[in-house]
Amino acid sequence: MANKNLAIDMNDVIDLFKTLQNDAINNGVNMFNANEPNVNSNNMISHFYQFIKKYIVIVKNKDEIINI
Amino acid sequence: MISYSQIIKNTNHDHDSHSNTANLQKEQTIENSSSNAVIKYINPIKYHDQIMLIKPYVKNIYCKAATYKWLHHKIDNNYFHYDYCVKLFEMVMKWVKLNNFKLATSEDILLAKFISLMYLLSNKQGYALLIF
Repeated sequence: MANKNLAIDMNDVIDLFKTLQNDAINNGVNMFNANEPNVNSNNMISHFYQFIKKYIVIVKNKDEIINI
Repeated sequence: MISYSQIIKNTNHDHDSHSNTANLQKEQTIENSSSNAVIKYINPIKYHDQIMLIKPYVKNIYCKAATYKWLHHKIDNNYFHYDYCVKLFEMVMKWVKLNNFKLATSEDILLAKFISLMYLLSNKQGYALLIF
C-alpha cells in the first residue's frame, strides 16, 4: 500500500539527502554545494525529492523508514 | 560588446577544417544555449587557439559536452566525478533495498538520471566548458 502522507515522505527523503550531502562535503566533492549561484539549498532538496518520487515507488510497510 | 553568436560565427571561420561531428556538437551547444534566454554573461577567453567559456549562467543538464567534461573531472588520482556519482547512487540503492522499495525503472536508466541530477546539483565553477 502506497504511503499517502507526503510530509513524512519528504522528511525521510530529506534525511537521505542530508546523508548524501554530508558524505560529499566530508569527501571534499563539489556536489550538493549550496553556494552555487543558480541552485539554493531548497531547490536542491526539491530536485532530489522529485527524483525520488518519480523513480522510486515508496511503499511503507513499517512505522519508520530506515536511513542509511 | 560582442554577442555570443558573433563569437561563434567568427570562430567557425577560423576553424573550417573541423569535422562534421565537431560542427554538429557546436551547433548543439549554441542551440541549447540560445534556448535559455537567461544567459547574460559569458566571458570568452582565448586559450591556445581555443575559446573557453567561463561560468555559463544557466546550467543545461542536456548539454552533453559539458556533462562529459564534468564527469571526467578528476577528484583524485584515478577517481572521477563519475565514480563518486556511482558511489552516491549505491547509497541510494542501499536505502531502497533496506526499506524494500521498488524502482519505477531499471537501475541502468536510473543511474543515468541520477548522474544528470548530480550534474544539476553540483557547483560547476572551475569546470569550464571547452567547446572546441
